[in-house]
Amino acid sequence: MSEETKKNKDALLSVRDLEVVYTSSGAVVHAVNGVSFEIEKGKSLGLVGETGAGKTTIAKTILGVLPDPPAKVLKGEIVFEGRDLLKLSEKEMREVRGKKISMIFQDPMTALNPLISVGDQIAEVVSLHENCSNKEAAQKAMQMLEMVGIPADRYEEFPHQFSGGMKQRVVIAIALACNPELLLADEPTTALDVTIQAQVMDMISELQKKLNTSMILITHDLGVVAESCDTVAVIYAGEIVEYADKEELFLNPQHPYTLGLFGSIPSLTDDVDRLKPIPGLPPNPEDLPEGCSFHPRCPHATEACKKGVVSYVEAAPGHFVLCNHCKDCKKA
Amino acid sequence: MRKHSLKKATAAVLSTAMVLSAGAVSVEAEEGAPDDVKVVIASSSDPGNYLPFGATNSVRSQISNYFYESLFSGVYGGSGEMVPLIATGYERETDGEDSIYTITINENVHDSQGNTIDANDVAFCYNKILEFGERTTDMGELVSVEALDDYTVKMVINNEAITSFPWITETVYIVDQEAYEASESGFANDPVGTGPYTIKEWLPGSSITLVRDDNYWGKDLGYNNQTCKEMEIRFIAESAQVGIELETGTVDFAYGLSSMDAEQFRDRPGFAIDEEMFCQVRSIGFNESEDSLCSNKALRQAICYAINAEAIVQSVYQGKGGVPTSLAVPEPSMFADYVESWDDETVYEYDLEKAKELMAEAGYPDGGITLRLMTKNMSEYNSTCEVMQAMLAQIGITVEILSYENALYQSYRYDQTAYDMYICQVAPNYMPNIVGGLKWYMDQNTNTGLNTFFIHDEKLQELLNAALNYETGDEEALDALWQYSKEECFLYPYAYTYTSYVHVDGMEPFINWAIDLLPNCSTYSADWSRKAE
Amino acid sequence: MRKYIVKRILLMIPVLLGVAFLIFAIMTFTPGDPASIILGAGATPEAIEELQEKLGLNAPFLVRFFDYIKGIVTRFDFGTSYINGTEIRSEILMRFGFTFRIALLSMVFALGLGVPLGITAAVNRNTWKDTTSMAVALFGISMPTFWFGLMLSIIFALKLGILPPSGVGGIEYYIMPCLAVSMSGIASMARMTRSSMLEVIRADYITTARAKGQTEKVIIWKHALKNALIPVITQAGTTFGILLGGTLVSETVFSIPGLGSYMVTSIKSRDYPAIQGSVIFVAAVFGVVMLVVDILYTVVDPRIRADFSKGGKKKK
Repeated sequence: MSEETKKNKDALLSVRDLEVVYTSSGAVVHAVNGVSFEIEKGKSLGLVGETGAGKTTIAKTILGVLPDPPAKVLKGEIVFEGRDLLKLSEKEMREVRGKKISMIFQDPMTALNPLISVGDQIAEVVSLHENCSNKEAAQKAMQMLEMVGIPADRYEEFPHQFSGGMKQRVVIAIALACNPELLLADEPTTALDVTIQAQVMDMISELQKKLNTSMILITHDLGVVAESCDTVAVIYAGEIVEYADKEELFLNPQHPYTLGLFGSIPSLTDDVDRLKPIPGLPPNPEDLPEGCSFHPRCPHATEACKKGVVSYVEAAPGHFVLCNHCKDCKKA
Repeated sequence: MRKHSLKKATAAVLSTAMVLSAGAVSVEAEEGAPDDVKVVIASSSDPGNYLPFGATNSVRSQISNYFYESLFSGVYGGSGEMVPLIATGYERETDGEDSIYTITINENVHDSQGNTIDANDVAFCYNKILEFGERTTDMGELVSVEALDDYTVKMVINNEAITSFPWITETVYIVDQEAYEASESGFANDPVGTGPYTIKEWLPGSSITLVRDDNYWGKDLGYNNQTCKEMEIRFIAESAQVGIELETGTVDFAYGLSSMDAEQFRDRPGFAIDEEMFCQVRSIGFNESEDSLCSNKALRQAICYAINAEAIVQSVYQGKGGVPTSLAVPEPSMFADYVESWDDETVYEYDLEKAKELMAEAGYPDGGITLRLMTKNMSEYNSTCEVMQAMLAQIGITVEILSYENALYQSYRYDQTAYDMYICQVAPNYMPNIVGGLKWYMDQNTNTGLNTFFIHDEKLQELLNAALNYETGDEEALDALWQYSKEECFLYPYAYTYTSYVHVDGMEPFINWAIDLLPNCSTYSADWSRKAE
Repeated sequence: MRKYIVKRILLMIPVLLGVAFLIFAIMTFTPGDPASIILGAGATPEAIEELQEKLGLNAPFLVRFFDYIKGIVTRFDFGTSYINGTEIRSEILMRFGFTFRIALLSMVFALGLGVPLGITAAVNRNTWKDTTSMAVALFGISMPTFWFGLMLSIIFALKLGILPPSGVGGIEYYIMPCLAVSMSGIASMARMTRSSMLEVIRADYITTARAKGQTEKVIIWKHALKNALIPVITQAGTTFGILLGGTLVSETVFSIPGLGSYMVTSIKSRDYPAIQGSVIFVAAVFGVVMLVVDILYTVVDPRIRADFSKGGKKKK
């Protein structure tokens, strides 16, 4: 896809041919297998896929917080503001983290340090990157608290005194405190209940628009994608199998996997006896299938799919599919 | 060499009212010896208190002798001869069973605080002991003590034994009545005595430092008992550490190291080992009550013949010792009543055949019995028991070794169901009279009428009384007692040993077999390096 | 908070009573009796009985126990030693002074050496630093105090001559005993710190801190360590209690007149008041140490602090 995409000079972040593996006691897990995408300023990209598809790994690689002994970046580039993040020194990366790129994590219950007050945890990121006094950092922290809907007088309280949703808001406040260019949100509402989910997602979207922050939203929930994202990338077995603008993807899904995903959503209107999951299981990342990684589960798989290389096909302008038969799929 | 009986000895003392010429001094002050010597001694335990009127305790006596004094001294005289200290002399007369002593008190005595000591204080001290009653065992024959005037005391002893008067007058500390009553603890931790030293510092459990009293009243007695200015006695529990302290020079003298620990200092420059015979004979005692198989005389004799005493001396004591010929160590100079003829005798010499014969005679031709051998839990005794166990197995006796810590040992000793034989030490107990030590084992004048062998033997008591009695006690009586004991096999003495005293060069230690080292009577060379502050 | 402390102190009373009862019973039913030891080897059975009567050993068990407790509660009087004649109370306090000094200094070693060792091991997991630290810890825990103490004495006192072999005095007398005693403490602190740190380092909030751009050093020392210390505090409390008891061996080897050797001497001579007093005292000290540890928790961990204040109400 990298050759075919026009190199967008306005792209804020450009990931090319990223490959990441985890090695533990001899076994090699291929987590990310040649991922490339771009994101523009102020836009949000949704990374959709099942658990274990490699989404979180991509996000952590961008931020450089992969646990280094097991994880290793084999190849690729991550160009941000003209620099390849993978080549930066640790010191340079530290300046990026929290300030230019920040991350919201999946589980709010454990994302905060239980021994430090929430206000101080927000102030910490401010003090790290802004040249200001502690008092000023604290004030900024209080502002952020208000911004996420928490009264500023709760500054001194500790994480255990907040509910899950509130904790997540604190995490968001930390992520946005220094007004980053890019926000990586890793399933920010998965651990929350549905009503809170809506609140939090609304808030994220609102803040994103207000501060003009780009966002990569990782999720397995197509509904969230529909609400909040501009472009969508569907990930399977460490590869992007389909990439398109949101409307295009929802109106015109091409890849058999994407079709399967949409097909498995329960319908509110129809009267159905059984759900329609995608048959089979996601592949073992230690032992990926040859050829197209989806072929064991694909109803349209042919001999060519089982061996040989699969390449991207542009089904429509800006809509890329990693499948040899996508034009044929449409017919099917 | 003392060959005459104590009777003659006391007569000698009686006739010499002059102390100085009695040759009591065994150590001469060396020319050029420094005046401010400090000597550090390693000892193993802290007596814990310095109560003057409690039961006798060898650890306490050792240290108490530096600041407490008694009427007469058995220490400064060398070889246990009784020499005057607080008293100057005495006269004796009898009245039926009672012996009445009139004792004259030295008029110059005062304690370290300056209080004068007179006959009233003496009477007070003795009456305190009678009141506390903790010494009825060893001083039961004392009836009364009263002051006749300021410097004369009358003492009444009932049924006097040869050892009574020396023991009573040498082991009772005389202190000033007012000073004693003024002390809250009863001198347990703040003793004030008349002795040549006072306590400078005492860290209970750790060390005690004594300093010479320059106002000591007895300087002119000529005993030369203030040769060092300061003594520090350190309580070091771990014998390996004692060795280290000697080597690093933090300790000058060590008591009772085992011969193995002492060996490393042999022939080492800067150190010397003094080996003195230990005054107690190691023996086996038998339980002869009906509860024990050892009431069978032939069995006892079989056991004695089966034990190879020489082998025990070689293996357990590395040959540092010998097989005794009697119930006394073969060092006649230690005793007033040593019987010369004992040197030519043997006690149940090792004879396995004879032992087996006696086993048959006892009714156990093939052995097959189990006997319990009790001992205190000390390594030398544990080893001894193991050796004996092996030896007795040869005549078919299975020995069960019961090794107890001191507290348990003391409580089981009087329980005739608890053991069949036990390891003990026969000793004259700081008195130069063998008969005194025997009395403790053999005397049947107890509540139960039994002695420590759990028997009531009229003849034994008769012989014992004869040997003890002031009038009749002499060599012959003692010999008769021993021969009968040997015959009846009450005790089997199997070893006498040596104690090793290790010290640094430059000191000539004065060692009294009863009290061990007296650093204040030892001599120090002119270049002695440790000085008192 | 104050209420909690008061409650805990009050709770110690039944515990100490129980300890007193237990030790009293053990002493009463253990063979061996103080009177024969005081009177020595030459004592007759009559003399022994008389002394037993005098010491009050013939009264019934409950009467003696009650009198003993009464003495403690009303006059704070732990009795007088059978052997020494001194007051148990003052004797224990003096002896305890030595033991406490050793235990405290050993604790300083244990924390000062053990915790950093554990942190190094955790942060450099599976590298040579980790293996070496844990080897040192293993060595420390396996070595018997007695042997190690004597070895230290031989090396530093005998061969090098820079420390005194035994006894008490200035600080130089305490270095070897404390080293000997603290070995096991260093080891247990190191292992506990390491495992606690390893758990904490994998926590999500550590990743959050990294994502903020925080330096590794601050992450370790501020974020990770604070959280890792909580189980370490418990361990420290227990270790201190063990050290208090473990000084006995060191006291024997280095001839320090501490509470441990006092207890042993008392047991050998069946000095009942001394034994009872010492045991109750040590139990009380341990109780106080545990209380201090629990209070430390509330200082360090706000979640536990919340349990003691008006309750941590969660606000939605």
